[in-house]
Amino acid sequence: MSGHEKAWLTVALLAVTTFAIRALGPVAVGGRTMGPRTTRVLSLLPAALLAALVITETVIEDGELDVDARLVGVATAGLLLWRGASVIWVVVGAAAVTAGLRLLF
Amino acid sequence: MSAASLRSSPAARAGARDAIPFALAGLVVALSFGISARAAGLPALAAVAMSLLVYAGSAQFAAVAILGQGGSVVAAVLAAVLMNARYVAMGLAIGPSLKGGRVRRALEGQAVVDASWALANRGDGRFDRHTLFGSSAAQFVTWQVGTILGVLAGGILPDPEALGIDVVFPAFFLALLVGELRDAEAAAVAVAGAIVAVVLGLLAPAGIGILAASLIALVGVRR
Repeated sequence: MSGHEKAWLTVALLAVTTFAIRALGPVAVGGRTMGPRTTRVLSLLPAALLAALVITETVIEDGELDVDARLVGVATAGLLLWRGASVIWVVVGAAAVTAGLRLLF
Repeated sequence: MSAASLRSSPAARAGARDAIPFALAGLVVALSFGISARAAGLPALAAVAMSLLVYAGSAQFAAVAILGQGGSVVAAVLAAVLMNARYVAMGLAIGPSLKGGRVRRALEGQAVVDASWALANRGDGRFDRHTLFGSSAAQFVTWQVGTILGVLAGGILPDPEALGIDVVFPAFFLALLVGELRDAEAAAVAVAGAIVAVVLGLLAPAGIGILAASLIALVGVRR
């Protein structure tokens, strides 16, 4: 299979699986309302998932621990958020600091 | 719901307005996706089609990274499915707040992306679906525009990492995370989730750690 064929096959399979995954939850649960415990679990889910995504994208590279300019960049994002900056400045600031560090070192 | 009633919905408009900072940041994330896709050897049109048909940043980044490392289609799709697995949980949470029969629920569920879901979350277990649609629509537009700009820039830029493009995605998700830290328990869950994700990220295939971290949320059954 050529690289182009692999790319297009991946696009097609991702489109189908992502549609199915997004449909699954709403279809399975229907219009039923959840109990307080289920609701609490579900309201805690994004905190766990988002923290996992942030940290792995920051310090892991190809399955190995890799602490570099990315960590400083994401820490900058944290600082900007703490100072109440808008999310657009948060991402731009993080990228700028990371780029600056890579230029210097 | 018709397009006209969606346009006239104050919540949908407010959702789109609230989503503007996220949509603009999403433009930068999509830009970085387009550049990464070109760097990984994806045809420009395939990258654009992926953003249009998949519209799920972390899954797209994961699949492209694996293809770029010479991985198989199966590995790329599996990593993307694992990344997307959180949408099952998010869909279960938002399900009761959506309307209609199975087909309509399946279609309404397509509006779930991380930022639109988080913005629509009222924090009491209910979700505002108009906010979901409005914010998702705004982000969909910038996701496409950013991807197109990214694949065009990707053909020109010599070294995207020199521009710090790779921290755009985690910085964006950090902004979403901060909005979720409503109480001490949520903060503790976030810290525990991060630890699980890093440990398993070093030991298990990509995506497993992210999924395992979601199990931490089960501490919520205590009350």
